[in-house]
Amino acid sequence: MRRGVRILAFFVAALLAVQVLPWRAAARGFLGLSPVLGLGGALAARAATPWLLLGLPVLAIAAFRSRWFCRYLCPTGFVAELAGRLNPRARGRFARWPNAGRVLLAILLGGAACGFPLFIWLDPLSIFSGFFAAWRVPLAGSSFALAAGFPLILLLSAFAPNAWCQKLCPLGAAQDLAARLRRAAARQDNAAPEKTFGLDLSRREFLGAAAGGAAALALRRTAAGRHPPIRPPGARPEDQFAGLCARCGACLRACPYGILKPDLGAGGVAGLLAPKIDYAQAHCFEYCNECTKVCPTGAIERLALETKRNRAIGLAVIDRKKCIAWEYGQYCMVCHEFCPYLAIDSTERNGVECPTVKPDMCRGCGACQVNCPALPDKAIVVKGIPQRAARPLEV
Amino acid sequence: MATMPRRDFLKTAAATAAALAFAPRRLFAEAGASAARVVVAHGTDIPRMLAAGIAALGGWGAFVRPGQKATLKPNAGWASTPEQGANTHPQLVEEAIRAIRVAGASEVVLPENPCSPAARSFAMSGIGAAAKNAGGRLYEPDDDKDFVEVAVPGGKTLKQVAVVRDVLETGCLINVPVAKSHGGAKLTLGLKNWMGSVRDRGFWHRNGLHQCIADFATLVKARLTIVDATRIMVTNGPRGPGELKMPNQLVFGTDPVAVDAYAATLFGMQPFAVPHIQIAHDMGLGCGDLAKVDVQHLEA
Repeated sequence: MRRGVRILAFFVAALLAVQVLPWRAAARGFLGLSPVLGLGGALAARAATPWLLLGLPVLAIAAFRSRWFCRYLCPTGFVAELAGRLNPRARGRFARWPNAGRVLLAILLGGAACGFPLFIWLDPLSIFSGFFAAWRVPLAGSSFALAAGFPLILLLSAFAPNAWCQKLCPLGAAQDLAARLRRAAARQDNAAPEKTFGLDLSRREFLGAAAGGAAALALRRTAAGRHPPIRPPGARPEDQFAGLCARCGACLRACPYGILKPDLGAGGVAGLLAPKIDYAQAHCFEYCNECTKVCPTGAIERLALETKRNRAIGLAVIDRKKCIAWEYGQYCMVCHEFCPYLAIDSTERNGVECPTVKPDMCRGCGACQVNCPALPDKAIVVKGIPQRAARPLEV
Repeated sequence: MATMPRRDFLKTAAATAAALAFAPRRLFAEAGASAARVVVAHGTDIPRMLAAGIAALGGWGAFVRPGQKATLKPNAGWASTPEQGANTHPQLVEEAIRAIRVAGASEVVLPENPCSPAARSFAMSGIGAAAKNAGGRLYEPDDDKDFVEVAVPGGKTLKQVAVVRDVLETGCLINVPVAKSHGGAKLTLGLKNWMGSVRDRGFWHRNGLHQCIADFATLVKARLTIVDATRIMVTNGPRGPGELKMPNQLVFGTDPVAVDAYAATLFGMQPFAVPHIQIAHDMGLGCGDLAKVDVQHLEA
């Protein structure tokens, strides 16, 4: 019976992660089952997503039924356990390892309190989702990096069965924490004396939380100082986004045009593997807000289509030395032609229309960049900016 | 077979020869062969306007023969609604497909290499549904399979071009553009609409857009052009949203340059202020001088 549930849960989770089901938001529901993503995100963003309503009951049940999510639903744990069976002699080899998961969770929560939930990407559902979400055409090198977490867990499990689930997983630790809190509450009711065993761990966790908070503040400072890469519409400010993003890949899976890629360093170490927009093939389509529907942590806010259409995610910049009209005096204006937001103005020069960008209208959607016919380099390129509202179209 | 008296035979032969000599000119008037003719149907009922315009040009039978494949080139390039005027009106496309099929075409295909993502362009423009309703096949040509690389012998700048196969290999080619302003081409009417049937538009922009538009017209000659000027986007074209004017006209003709020249006037422009109309006229691809064009107005 339990095995049946686990197999079913695995396949449902895989289907949701690949987002083949017609309702895309379900991907977010699946990820929302993890209170690590939901609570960590809500704490850091100071805004709860409705999917937290799925995560909180998971935690509540765990307070009474120890690690029930691991035993029944977790798809990562299921496959990790199977991998562990490959190596039965290694069972228990790492039973004496310290429980790093608890400390990781403390760091995560301490960081979240300071707006930057460190290690939130260690969430097992996020890692699972990343593996399935990464395989989309066109593949980038960074796709493999995003997908690597799940195989690494399996590798670790084959080498050290249960080490991931019992010693590292923050979702497991979160369930343990819920159970411990309940027991502590029960003990208080019975006025039983506190055991030193519990206190000892609490100190370690307390230090972890403090360290997480300090690291969070430091990382936010470095992220804030950077020129951000172009993030998906609805992304929170870079100093929060880099931390809130769980690297689950749901948004890049959701993008119908394949323009979201895991970032390999443009956003600094803090933003490693977070999604950034690449306008090599297509632009951010004006009638699409799919990526804003799937984020489990709130790193990307849900934007209504109209809000998305008025959200500037970047700014187009023209290099006149490369421009067909400015430099070569040819009729072109393809940037104007493709701009969905009337953000390209024209200036006549020797009888030929030449483009200029209206910064208050430009959304940074990349339609101009994708279609610019200049060779060898595009004459109009979108630069990342802190996201802001652009001026609505009036016609 | 019954024997035929010599006199009858001669009569028949002479009649046939006469028919062969004159019929093609009448049926498929070559540009410049005689005074170019443009028919303008005014009204708000698109099916009636279409029927009236075609009747004035001799009926659909003058353009499509039974069993032929027909290729229709609409402008369905933008994710934009019919009211915005960035695409050909779907009702015009639908009625044209239907009429061509009634005239006996074996199939009607509508290739369009769109600017917005194809699925969204075809859906929002209403042309996807129009084609489906009327039994035509609207499609986005595949970069690898659906283009043919051909030489342009008459081209000055455009010497080589990859064109959608269905535009080159068809029994009957009909251009159904929409009239609107255009940032690079000044206006986009019939001649410019063919850019939606080539693979590499960038070459045109880099090497002289207007000359390339005219060069392409030496290669691809529509048997009939019907410009949708029911509503025209006079600012912010080709994509808009822009300011609309409502000429409530369909412009018909077999001379692509004359049709464009007339349509340009709807924007308050002299035809030769549009460089590609001037170039095409100078290259002898049609008559852009409206003083020499027979423009016939109809109410429908």
